[in-house]
This record gives sequence, C-alpha cells and structure tokens, in this order.
Amino acid sequence: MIRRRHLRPLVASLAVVCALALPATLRAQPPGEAAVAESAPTVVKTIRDRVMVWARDPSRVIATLPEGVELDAVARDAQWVEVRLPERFGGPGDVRGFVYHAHVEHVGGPAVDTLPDRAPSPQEAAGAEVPRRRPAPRFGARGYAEGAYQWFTAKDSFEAILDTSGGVFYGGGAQVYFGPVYVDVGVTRFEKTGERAFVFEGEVFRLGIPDRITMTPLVVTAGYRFPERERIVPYLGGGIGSLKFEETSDFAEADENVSERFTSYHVVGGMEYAAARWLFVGGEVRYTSVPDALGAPGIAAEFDESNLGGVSVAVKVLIGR
Amino acid sequence: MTSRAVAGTVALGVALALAPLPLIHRTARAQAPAPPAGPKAAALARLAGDAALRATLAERRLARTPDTRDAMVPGLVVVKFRDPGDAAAVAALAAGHRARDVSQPAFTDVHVFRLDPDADVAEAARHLAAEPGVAYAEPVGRAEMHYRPNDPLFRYQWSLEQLDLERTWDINRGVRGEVVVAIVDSGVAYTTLGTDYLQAPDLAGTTFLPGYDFVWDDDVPIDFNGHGTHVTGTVAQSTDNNLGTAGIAFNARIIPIKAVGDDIDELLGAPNVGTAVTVAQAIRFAAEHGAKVINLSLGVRLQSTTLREAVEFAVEQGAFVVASAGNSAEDGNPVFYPAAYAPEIDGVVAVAATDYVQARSPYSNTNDYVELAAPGGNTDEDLNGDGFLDGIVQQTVDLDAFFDTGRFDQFSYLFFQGTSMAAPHVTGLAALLIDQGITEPAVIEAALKHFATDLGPAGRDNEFGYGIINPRATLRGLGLAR
Repeated sequence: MIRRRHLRPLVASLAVVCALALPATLRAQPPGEAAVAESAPTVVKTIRDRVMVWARDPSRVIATLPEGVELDAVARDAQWVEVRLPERFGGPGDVRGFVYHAHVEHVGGPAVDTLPDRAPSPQEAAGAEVPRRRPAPRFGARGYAEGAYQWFTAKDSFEAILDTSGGVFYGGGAQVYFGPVYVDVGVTRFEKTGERAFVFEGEVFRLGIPDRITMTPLVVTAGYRFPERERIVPYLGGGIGSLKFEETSDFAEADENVSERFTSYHVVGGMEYAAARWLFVGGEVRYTSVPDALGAPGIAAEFDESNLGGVSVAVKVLIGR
Repeated sequence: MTSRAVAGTVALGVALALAPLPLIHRTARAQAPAPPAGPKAAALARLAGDAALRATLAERRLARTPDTRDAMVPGLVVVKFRDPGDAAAVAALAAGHRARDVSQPAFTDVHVFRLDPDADVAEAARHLAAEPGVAYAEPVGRAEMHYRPNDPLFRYQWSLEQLDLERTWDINRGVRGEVVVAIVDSGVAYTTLGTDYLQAPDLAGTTFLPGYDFVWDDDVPIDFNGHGTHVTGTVAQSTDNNLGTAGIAFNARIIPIKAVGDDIDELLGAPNVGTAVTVAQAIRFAAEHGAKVINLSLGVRLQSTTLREAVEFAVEQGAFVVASAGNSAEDGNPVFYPAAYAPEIDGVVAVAATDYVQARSPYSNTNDYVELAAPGGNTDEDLNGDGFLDGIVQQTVDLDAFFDTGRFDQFSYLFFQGTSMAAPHVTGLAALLIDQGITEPAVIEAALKHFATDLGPAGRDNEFGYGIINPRATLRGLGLAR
C-alpha cells in the first residue's frame, strides 16, 4: 500500500509525464482526421442495395449494406471512399472500410472531394512502425533441396524401357545473387529400373531382363530476379550442365553397360516465396536439352529419339538470405 | 562320288519320280568313306573313354579362348579395416577417396567402397591399402555363372560355341516354361518299341508330346532315317545329363511328326511317301496341337498352294515356322518350298547354312528368299582343328548297325551338314525367345532379323539373308541407349 506521504510526489510525476506526453499524442494524430474531428463529418448514403464494404490487406468484403445507410466518410482513395461502419453492420469499435464512390451519395458535411487521401490506420496514427516491403538485399547466398518431375523428350524410349515417360529427380544445390542477377549450381539424380525390350511396328515387347537407368545432371544456371512483390520473386534463367548417364542391365558385360557424360542446355523460369526471413519456397519450370545422347544400338533408335532432356517442374526449399 | 552327292542324287531321283516330294536338307554324314558313320562313331566312342585325349583337347581349347575380360567390377573396392567398428575412420577414408557409397555386406567384416565407375579400381585399391588402419584393399572380382552343360561331347558342338550359347543360357537356360516345338521330319527316335526300336538315349530326358506319322498314318512317328532325330537333338537334346551332346532349347516340349519317308519306309510298305501334302498335314497337325515353333528341315521343289496355305494357317494359329533354304547351290540353286514363301509371310523364315568360319557353306542355296543364316557345317573341312570334319554333331539312329542287325537299337553321334542342320539352330533360338515372352510369329521373325549379325554385303543378301543369328543379343533385347 502506498502511504499518503509518498502520494504527492507520485501525482506530481504523473502530471509531468502527462504534460510531456499529451502534445506528442496530439502530434501523432493525422492532420486529416484531426480536421475532420474538429468540424462536422462528411456523411454519405448508400444509393443502392447490396453495397459492398471492403477491407484492405487483405482485400475482403467486411459488410454488405442495403440502400439508404448513412455513413461517416473519413478519407478517399482514388475512386474509393473510406467510411466508418455503423455498429449494426461493422460490430463494436472503429471499424472502417471502403465503398465504391458511385455507390454512395453525399448527404451532409464537407464534400467528398475535400476529404483527405486515405486516412492512416490506427497503427499509423499511433506512430507504430508499419511493416514495409523489405528492400531486396543486394547480395545473398542460399542452399536448397529440390524435387523435380521431368517429362522426358525421348518419351517413347523411356516408356518402352521404364513403362513411364517421366521420372522424379532429387537433389540440391547452392545459389548466390548480386542484386537482380543470380547464379545457381545444382545436382540431382534420377534412378529407375525397367526391362530390356524389343520394338516391332511401334509395339513394345519386354524381355524380363532388368535394365537400370541412372541420370545425374550437374547444372549451372545464371538468371535475372525480378523485384519482389508480395514476398514473391519471379526469375528467369538459363545455363549449361553435364549429365552423367548410366545404364546397366543383368547379364551384361562391362562394355555392354553405359556410363557416359553429355553436355546439357537449359532454360528456367520460376518464382520463390519468402516464407520466413531465412526460408524460401520456390517453384520452377525447366526445359533441358541433351542432344545426341541416345540412338543406335539402343531402343531410342527405334523411335528416332536422341535427346535425353525434357521439361520438368521442380519444387525447391531454400535456406539462406 | 561323295556320300553327299549320292544323297543328293537319290533325293533328286525320288523327286523326279514322285514329284512333288520333300527333300531332306541333309547332305551327308561327316565321314566321307562308306560306310560313312562308322569311323566317326568309333572315334567319338574312343574319345568318350579316353580321358587323356580329352584332357589334351580341353587344354587346346582353353589355350584358344583365354577370357580374362571384365574380371573386375567397375567402381568397387573391398577394404578390410583393422578395426571394422571404427565408423569415423571408415567415413574419413571414404571421404578422402571420394567413395560414393560405403557398405558392409552381411556376414562379412569388410567394407565395399563404391567409387566412380570410371575409376581405376586397381590403383584405388593400392592407395587404400596404404592407408593406416587398413588391413588390405582389393578390387572386386566379378562372379560369373559358369554354366556349361556337362554333356561330354559339348566341346565338339562348335556351332553352339560360335553362337555364344553358354552366355545365352545365362539369360535363359534352355526354356523355363512350356514351349512346344514341332519337328516335322523323318520322325524321331523318341520312344522304345520292344527290342527292335529303341529311344535315342540322349533324348531320354526330353519331353515328347503325342505326335503323328503321316507316312504310315498312325500315331507312332518313329524315325527310320536318322535325320529327324538329329534335327530334334539340335533343338532339344537332353542336356546336362552327363551324356553326349546338348540342345539349344533343351527343355522345350517336342511334338514328333513324321511327314517324310525313307527308303526303309517304302520297303516296309508305308502307305504314303513324303509329299507336299503330308508336310502340309503335319504343319496343320502341329499348329492345332499347340506348337509355337515348327521346324521344317525339308523342302519341295514345286510350288504348292496346299503347303503355303498350311504354313499360313500355322502362323495364324501363332506358330513360328522355320524352313531350310536348300542344299542345292551347286546343283542349279533351285527354289524350295516352303522356304520360298518366307519373304511373303511374316512369321516364316528361310535359313541358309554357314561353316566354322561363318562363310556360306558351299551347298547352301543362294536365293532371294534366304532371310537368316545359322551354322549348318561343312564336312569337307576341319577348320577348327578338332580332328573331326566340321559338321553339326548330334546323336541319331545308327543305320550301319541297323543294316547289320536289322534293329534300330544302336545310336551314334554323327556329324551332319546341311541347311537342315542350320534350321534347328533358329528353331531352338525361337523357342528360347518365346520363353522370354515374345510369342507372336511376326515379332519373332523381326527380332531374329534385327539382332542377326550381318554377313556378306551390307544388308540382306542371298547368301546369308539378314545375317547369322545372334542368340544372346536376341534374348537380351534393347536397352535405352545400348
């Protein structure tokens, strides 16, 4: 319990604090709102049924008003008028929203045109720091893991051996960027076992001999990152790589198996989303060409297919900044 | 006059008298002097009992085919650590030597390092062995299936070695399923009838299905000639039975069908002789009784719609038909049927004969219907230096003994030559391929042609067709890139 003899200095201190804080509080009020508060408010009225009142960030409808509802207008923003919602429509508290200017008419107070531009939010009015779009760092480095599904260009050949014309690649890599330019080095791996086969008039006859296909592409990509918007950064790029292709089968001698490297070329386009400060999730579409990698005496020659590339869709999880 | 010429004259004479007659495409037994088979059979019998001679021949064979290829598995090195439980040491060594993967096989105390497949594993093993904590390191030797039939005369079956049958059998060891092959020929010594006719001992383990004799018009198609028994042996001789020779598709089920008569049949009063009609009957019988491959080591010199329709019927029923091309290249190179129908019917092939060095056997017909080649032998030469003329050896009826005793109870391993001997090589391969899962006649034909090793001028030619069959490549099929 505070004793009486100590009460007087406390009250004096509070008075000093209030005296110092009040002007600051008054200064924190936005000029527009202060002006509106000092005079009669602008009043508008809905002139049609089912007038929608929108909130921003996120954009959504917070109320639907019938015709004839009078609303205090507090600001304008281009063709939108910011209004206070009556409690019966917006619930308790100072709930504000935007109505389209053509859906209301001015019925009292200063003209709508004289309203200030969009009123600051209560947070802004209170002087709180408003989260702003984070400026893109000028330099960054990230590591990532990747899973991709590729539709092979040599679809008939893969279909003949693996019974599928596509496959999943897993891997990872590292990425650095300097302003809008980035460089990415990644390695992935695909492995699947099918059967050796014979083709007659386009029909495939499998022979029951296991045939294992392994592909390990190492790729280098350089590209351009577009400015971030809503935490999303689109990007485009292209590059070159080295694909290690291996094919082994049962009953094969060493020289009947294949272990070769081929040069690959690719272009990519994608977007990454900043899920957190150090965590990004990306989606990417990639076209890869590995020319002259297949042919006689393999089954690819039967289908006149020679390219080991394809179109892939990749999902990346990046950690870094 | 050689016995081959005698055989040809007799066949031609019969053909002129009773045309159209099927000619059996065997030209002769290997040993030329009459009686032809005696000395050869005696020599083989002596070989079977002479271990020292066999050892000498085996040594010569080994010296001829040293094979140390692919002894090491690419990229693998075995490392024995002094302390196998020291995971940190294992990991450090693996990282230091760029091992892609390290595993410890069950029931061992060694680790297997998987390096780049292109790495020099011998060199890598030397470096690893020099590391502290390593007891030893060594490349990993490849374990090979050394399947080789234990049939003692297999070593004289040069045609099977030439066709790489040992490695082919690693893929498909002589039919694992139930593939039915019909041998339309002079009959087969497939059964025992009292004491006068015995089953060929080296066919005792072969499965025979009910057949038919269209010469005698009964259901006991036994062989009085020896040709059909020999042909059957190349397809499905009982194999790995410590006796005689091996067959290519040695577990195939055989339908013996007699459609061609011998002088003996005629003398014994057979109601029919072999004609285009009996052959057509036999083909239809085979197709209707489930044959998936029909071997026709025979031919007719006259075009026969009856025969053609029978072949077409068989293909429609799902049977692949193999016909010998003929042995008359030096006798006017006449056209033989049904071989001549082969180019017009997908699922029928005409087979020419090659010798030990894969040259065309001089007797082998060179017609535009030749589609494939296979070893048929040449009993005028001994190019492999094994002491025997280069025919195709199989066990068959010993007619010399028959002429002595009057009983078909003696069998010999005889070297025959002819497109008749080439055709069953293709038939055996077709049976293996069917067992691999390719069952449509047209696809079988396409596969045999696709994987044949081209001989002579590039592409198809009248001597070798699309080339000599390549059983191992055919059964392996195609991979994505190779």
